[in-house]
Formats: sequence, C-alpha cells, structure tokens
Amino acid sequence: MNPSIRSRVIASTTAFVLGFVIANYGILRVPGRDRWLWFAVAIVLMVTSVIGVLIADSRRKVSMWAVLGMEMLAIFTLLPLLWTFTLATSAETVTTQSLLPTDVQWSVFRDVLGSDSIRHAAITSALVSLIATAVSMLLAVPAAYALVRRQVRARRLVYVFLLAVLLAPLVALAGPFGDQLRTFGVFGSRYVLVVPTLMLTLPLATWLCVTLMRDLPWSLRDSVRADGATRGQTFRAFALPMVVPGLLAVTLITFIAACNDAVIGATLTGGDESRTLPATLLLAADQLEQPSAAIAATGLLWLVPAVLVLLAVPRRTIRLLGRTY
Amino acid sequence: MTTIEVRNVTLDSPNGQRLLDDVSLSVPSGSRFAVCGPSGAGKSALMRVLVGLDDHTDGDVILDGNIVNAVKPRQRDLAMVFSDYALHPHLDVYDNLAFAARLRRDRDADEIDDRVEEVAELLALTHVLELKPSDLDDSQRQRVAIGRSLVRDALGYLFDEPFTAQDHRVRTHVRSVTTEWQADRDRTSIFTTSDAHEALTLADQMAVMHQGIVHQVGSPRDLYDHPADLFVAAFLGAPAMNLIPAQVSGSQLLMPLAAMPIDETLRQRLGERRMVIVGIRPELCHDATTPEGRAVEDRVDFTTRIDDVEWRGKTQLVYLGYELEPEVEETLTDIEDALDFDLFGNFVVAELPASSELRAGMTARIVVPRAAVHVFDAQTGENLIQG
Repeated sequence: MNPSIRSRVIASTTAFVLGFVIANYGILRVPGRDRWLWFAVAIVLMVTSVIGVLIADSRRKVSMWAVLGMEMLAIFTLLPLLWTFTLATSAETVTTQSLLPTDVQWSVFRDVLGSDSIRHAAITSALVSLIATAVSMLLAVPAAYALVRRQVRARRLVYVFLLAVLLAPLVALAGPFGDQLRTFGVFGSRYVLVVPTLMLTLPLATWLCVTLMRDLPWSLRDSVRADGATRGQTFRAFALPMVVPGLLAVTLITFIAACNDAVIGATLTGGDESRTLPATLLLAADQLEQPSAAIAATGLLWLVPAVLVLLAVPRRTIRLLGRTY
Repeated sequence: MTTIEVRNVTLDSPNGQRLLDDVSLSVPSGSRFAVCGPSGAGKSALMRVLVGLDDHTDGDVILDGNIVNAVKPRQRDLAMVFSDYALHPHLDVYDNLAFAARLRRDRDADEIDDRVEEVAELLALTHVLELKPSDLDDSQRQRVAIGRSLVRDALGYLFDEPFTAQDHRVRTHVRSVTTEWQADRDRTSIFTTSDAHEALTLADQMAVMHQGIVHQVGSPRDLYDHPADLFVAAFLGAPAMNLIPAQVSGSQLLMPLAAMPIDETLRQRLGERRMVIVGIRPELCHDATTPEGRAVEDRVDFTTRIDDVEWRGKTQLVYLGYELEPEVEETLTDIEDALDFDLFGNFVVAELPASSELRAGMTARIVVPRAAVHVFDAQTGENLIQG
C-alpha cells in the first residue's frame, strides 16, 4: 500500500466516522426539522468517504484530507451564518431553539434599516473609520517606506513598539483617554473618536505596509529606471501593478478593523448620538423591541458591504499580501 | 561605439560603509570587459553607479568623453541585467522581453516583435513566451533577464553576474549567444563575475576587484602571467598559485622544502626586506625525473614525501606538505585577515600530467624554472619582480 492510498483510506475512514456520529446524533438527539440538516451533513461526509475509497488507487491528484478539510471549513463558517439568519428572521421574541428558520419574517431588516439610531450609529462608524483609515494610511506609507528602505536607527525598537501597541488591550488605554477628553470638554463628540481609533489603525496599517514593502521586488524598480523610464513610466510599470493593489488591500483591512472595534465606541462615548455601530449593538440589547433579532439582522447586513468589497477588488489584491513572485 | 570610464570613483553606503574606494577603469569602445572578484568586492555597486542608479560620493563617470555624474539613466542609455533578474511578475515572458524596448519607444511594434522572437530563439525561450516568471525555473528567468536587455538597443550593456543560474551545458551556449550578439553590433559590454575562469575566458580586458578596490586592470593573459599583487595572484587560476613564505638569508631565499639563490635584480628589489612570499603556479611545476623536468635548467627544486595525489582526468595534483614556525604562521594569518581572503596552505601543489607515476608516500623532486617564480612583498602584497 503506497502512502497516498493509505492517506486516502484514513481520510475516508475519518469522514465516514464523522458522518456516522453526526447522523446518529441527529437521529437520537435532534428534534424537528433540524434533524434533516444533520442528515445532510452526514450524507455529504459519507459520500466523501465513499468517493475517497473509490479513487484511493487512482492517479488523480486529489488529497482527501484537503476535501475533508474544506467540508469542515464550510460547515463551521456556514452554520453560524445560518443560525444568525434564523435568529434575525424568527418572529418570536424568545430565542429560537431550531437551527433552520421556521417562519421567515423579513420585516426586521426593514426595521433595522429604518431605525434612526442604527443608521446614525452606522454613519458614525463609517465616518470615524474612514477618517482614521485615511490619516493612518497617509502616515503609514511613508513610515513603512522609511523603515524598509532607509537606514533607520533602532529599527527593531520601532517594530517592537508597533507590535506592542497592536497587541495592547485597548480597554486599558481607553479609560485614561476618556479622562483627557473630559478635561478638554470634547467628550461625546463623534469626531473625537478618530483619535483613539488611530491607536488601533495606525500601528496596524504601518505594520501591514512594512510587510508589503519588504516583499516588493525593489530591484525591479531599479531595472525599470535603468531601462530609462521617466518618473511617470516608473510609476505605471512598478508602483501601479506592484504597490497600489497591496495598499488597497491594507486600506481595506485597516478600515474593516476600525469598523469592527467596539471598545472605543462603547467606552469613550457619552450618549447615543456618538456611538459607533458595534458599540450600539453591544449596548442595544434591551432598547429595541426584538433585541436579538435586530442585532442578528444588523450583523447580517454588515456582512453585505464586506462581501461586496471582496468581490469587487481584483483577486490579485487578496493574494498580494503574501507573495510577489 | 562607446567608451566607458570611471575616474577615482568613491561610493559610500548610507550607513557609512565604503563600497567603492578610488576606482578608476577605462573600458575601450567595443570591448568585452570583465569585473571580477569575490562576493562583496563592490562589483554590483560599480554597475549601479555606471548605469546611474546610485550617486557616487566622489569622482567622475565618463561616457564617450563626457562627464555624466548628474545624468539620468535614461540619457546614459546603458542596458543592465540584474543579478536577481528583476522581472515583472505580472507580465508574461514576451512582455518582459519587450518591456524596455517598448518603454523607450525607439522602434515600432513590428520591429520589437521581430527582435523578441529572435532573442527568444537564441536563448531557447520560444516555448515559454506565454508563461509568467513564476512558472519558470531559475535558469530560464536569468535568460529572460539577459534577453530583455538584448531586445533593447543600448550604447553599452552591463551584465551583473549574468550566467550564475545556468548549468554547465547551457552556460556555454548562453555565453556565446550574449557575446556574439554584442560583438556583432560592436557594443561595449561589461560583465561582473565571481568566477575567475569565466572572466579569463570571456573578456578582452578585465579588472580584479576586492574590498571596493581595483587591484589590477589589463588583458586576462597579462593579469594571469603578471599579477600585480598577492590577491590577484591568488584569485586567478585553479588550482590557485602556491604562495610560500620565504626568509631572506644572505644570498638565498629560504623556503620550506627549497632554497633559491638571489640574483642581482632581485637583490635590488628586495632592499631591506627579511621576509617575502614566493608564488609559483602549479602548472609550471615539473617532476625532475621526467624529460620535461630534466630540461629545466635554472631551477628551484622541492624535495619531500608526497602527502596526497588528486587525479583530475587530464592532470593530477601532487601535494607536498610542510610545517612552518609559529611566528611565520602568525604573520601569514595576519596577511589573510587584512585581505579577508584565504591565500596560504601548508603545502606545495604541483599540477603534473595524468601519466605521472608519482603516488602518495613516494619521495618526489619537483622542479620549477626560476623565471616562473614570483616574489611578493609580505606587507603590501606587491609583486617585486614580475608585477
């Protein structure tokens, strides 16, 4: 038995055992329509195992472990989404017990989109994150360029500080910062949030830019210049294809990180007017009619722009943070 | 037709390290010039200064008699091949080859197309024209890097370590393609290499560099036969030249295993020196018992037990070991440290024909014509008689 056959057989066995366990759990413990969901997963796993055994001896270049891994990944990503959807669309105010939605009510989405407080919070989030991201990128790009390409004393120390700030708990920094804001009498304004958000976005953006610039093929720039390129041509031949997509990716990641932060929005804001979206969700549990449904619905709606962005951006951008060749 | 010249060029890196130290070279128009030296010699730095990528600290770069220190790479019009290939990862091989020519807009699309096809054919890249650099192996990438400079028309070509990734068979072909292309068009070219053999075989003129300093410039034959100093002597030639410490003692140079009478010229050159380094090329050694050995008249001979014999096909290397006084050893180590290069071994190597019957353990008498002996100053490394 060669290693590839053995590996496939073991993977198939694993898939089968998993499927078997899930099927039995579904039959014995899961009531109602959810049982069919368990069955579906079990069937997929068992079919995988059968295919694995059938192709075990073939020359096909398929790793059964990879297939199994993909299936597990799909299950673990899709199930929470499904659960969120069910929560959002269930009519009852009580938390629903079943995974599959029983009676889909779309009204909650309309409510959320129509809700002034949520719309206001979303605008706050977007504004604060946009400004913070823009400022961070403006500072991070030259900083990263200098760190990577120029002689910088104590470069390592700078990196250590960057990472330290990145890893530091924001909650610990937020308290003292709030006191400062009160002293200056600007506590409660939504634009003030930009400053603490920079604490999160600036090191993140700088670190990502450093990673990006380190991997750039700089000798390519030299070679383009040696070929006799003008400034404009060097930009078009080197910066545009090599750097700009990467910077776009960094900007998006930074923006999303800023959007997702709940700590600053929750601790440094006085009233509803200046709260960010995550903070609003965090604190809104008992303010809305259908607390859990509304939160779940907002979460789902939140996903839409992220997915749109990922689909709109060229594939190379997503790949670019890793390899250049 | 372009002469390329640098005069007293000095380059310091941003962190204050001296990369080029008072480098002066003159590359005649249409010649094939090699800059050769171990890694870290400053070869790439020199190329970057020539093409106009780095601003040198001091001195002049001169193209066709014009000082071009402040002239941009575009106006210098020298094509450069980078040692790390510098290909566009998002462009296929065809577009990479055509890149520089298109950028300069000095030919129309059809001409560029013809030229790309021609160069691809020459460098055996025709079947990979549609692939991206990431799909190629190192040897192919390097050939694309060479090709992109050939497609473009330039006044001169600078190749930085252009053949390192080619395996033995392809290397010869790629070398001849490149050199013929350049010779056909009567272009000046400079290439760097850390392979002394490559420089000796390919170049009309060459420079030996080390530690940012040019040690000697001249024709390969001249450098090989008359090395100006210890470094050039040790760097050119394989097996490397025997460098043996010798004490000046009355009318003789005393070496381990041998002694050489000091004639009038040498006496004058030696001056007050007490210790020198004697240099002997292994291929100029003969076995005293063979007809060639007996034919050597004015000679130095080394007689001792053979430590080892290394067979090399056409020839064999005979190693005669010796011991040195500790203080002599120390002096030699100091010389090596100052040069940051291995010069000495505790043996004399003779390169004899494969037919030689000498074997390890036998006692050998190796003779060298006196005219083939170099004498170097132990401190400065300068060649006292043949430099």
